[in-house]
Amino acid sequence: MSTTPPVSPAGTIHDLGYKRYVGTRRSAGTRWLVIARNQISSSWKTWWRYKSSLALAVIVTFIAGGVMFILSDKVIRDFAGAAATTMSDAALPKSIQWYTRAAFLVSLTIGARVVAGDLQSGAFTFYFSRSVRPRDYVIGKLGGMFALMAPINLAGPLLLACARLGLSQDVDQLIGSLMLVPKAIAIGLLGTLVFATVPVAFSALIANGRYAIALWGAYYLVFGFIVSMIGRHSDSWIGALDLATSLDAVALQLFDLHLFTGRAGNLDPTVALASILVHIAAAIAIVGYQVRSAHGSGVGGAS
Amino acid sequence: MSAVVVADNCSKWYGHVLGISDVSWKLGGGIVGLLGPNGAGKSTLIKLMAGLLVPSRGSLSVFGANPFTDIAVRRRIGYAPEHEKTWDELTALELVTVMARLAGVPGERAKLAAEAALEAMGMADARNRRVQGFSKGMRQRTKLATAIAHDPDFLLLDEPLTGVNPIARADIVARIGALAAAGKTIVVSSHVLYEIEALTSEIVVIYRGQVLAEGNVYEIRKLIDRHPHRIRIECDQPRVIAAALATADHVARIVFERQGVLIETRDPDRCYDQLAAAVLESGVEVSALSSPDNNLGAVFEYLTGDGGRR
Repeated sequence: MSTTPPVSPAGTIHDLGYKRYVGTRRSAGTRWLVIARNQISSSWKTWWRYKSSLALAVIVTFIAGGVMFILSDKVIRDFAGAAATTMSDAALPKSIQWYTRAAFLVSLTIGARVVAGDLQSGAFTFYFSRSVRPRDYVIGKLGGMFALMAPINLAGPLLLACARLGLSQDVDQLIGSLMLVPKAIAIGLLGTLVFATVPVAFSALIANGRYAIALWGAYYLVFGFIVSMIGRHSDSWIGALDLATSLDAVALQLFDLHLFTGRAGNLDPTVALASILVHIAAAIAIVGYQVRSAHGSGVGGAS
Repeated sequence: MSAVVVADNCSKWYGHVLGISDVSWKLGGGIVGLLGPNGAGKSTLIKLMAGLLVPSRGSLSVFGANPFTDIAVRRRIGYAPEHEKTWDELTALELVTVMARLAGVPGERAKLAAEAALEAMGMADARNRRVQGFSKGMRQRTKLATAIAHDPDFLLLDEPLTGVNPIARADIVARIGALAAAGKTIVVSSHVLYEIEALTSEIVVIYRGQVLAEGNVYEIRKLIDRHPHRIRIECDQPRVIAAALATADHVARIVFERQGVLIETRDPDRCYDQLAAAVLESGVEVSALSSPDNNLGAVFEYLTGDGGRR
């Protein structure tokens, strides 16, 4: 038998194992879920982007819950009287400020560079060379941010509201406190929507992550502080342009808190709510417009 | 066979900057090399085909549809961009899986498809490593895996061999060849002729945004042979070599250089034969033999020297 090895003819292409994909494909309408999921998993990769702020929210929940628990103790209630109930009721709305701070940190580490980061890194070419439309991208990114913000802004207040119900002394108090749950959901949703949209709008305005973060930080902290001070001293609506003050004002109104009001004390909650909704709507419009424009003008740039 | 790509007077400007101008071109199938120097418009043409850009004038269709607006067509396209940047914090498997999902491959199947794509690109061992630690060659392979994971019919590979070492380059070339054997239509861009030659003999030369030459690479090379073909010989006795070739009718010019001699010939094949004979007869020690014409730059030099006429 011959032992001569077979000689490959010239021009042979070897089969290196590539196999065709055989299977179904998901409809285009589900692409936003992939984008949102990728947004969440990327954010979860490092401790400082998201986990640290989530930890802060968890600590706030424990502290506020602890305050409620201690103030529900009969000995303390007998000693402090109505003040104990007032302080216990204030624990939830006052914790909103802290959840807002945790959400602001996430908006700096993630939200304000969502679109800018993709524009800078060239990720737009990855998205739009696949069967992804600009609206899938916008919904996916905003949805991802919503999912990241909800455990901080929404789950925390909701847990506290449930804890407050659990600490009720009797059925009458329980029934009287039931409205805390939808109120917590409402303020949580507002906070979640603000921080899931407005920072992303800043990131869509500037195609540079660092500048977008700086601009968003300046808008929220510096501009917010200035307009809040002007509004407080002039007793006008302009203070509602400060998102933190507006969220605080709505929370105070929802939970009917008239003590410890701070900067939000003299702000009309209706105006504050209107300001928040306008911010959210404008942010979504800006993100949509900017992404569509970037897509239309050539996301990969010239070369 | 119906055309995969049809460009009809297609132009693209970026403001006042020209991307491509008035390109009319049909792509039937197989592997086609898109050649051109940096800034010639290769990436612009590839992005137009990938649906990332919309023509400023004219039209470009892929599988008979506009890839910019028709996302169903984009599902049939696999694009590996020129740039290095990816989601570096993801592992190779995560990255390719996300890309497959974006192209519509569902859940767990996307992961399986990503594993198969990475394996096909020789990245199975590194699939669970983060992309940020990858070498240039591994990044190129990962990008190729992202392009093929959803099993597209048409692959657009923008400079897939740039910065890759020779061993990895040969491997990637073989793997791209395997994809073509699997029935894919592939457009590969490069500004290095020999990289393309290793893949295909069908090329399109882009220069200043226009199609300067197209067809079989050997046909393009004939363009070089209309001009004197230069052969540089580095040796210890250049005058002996020059004397042996001076009387040959195909030799147009002989130029002595510091380390040897440059022969300009109108018949390179005969010149190489005579050169080999002269070296054997005279015993001249040749340290290097090269052809300055054997690169795309020389092709461009000649073509643009003719005013861009073919």
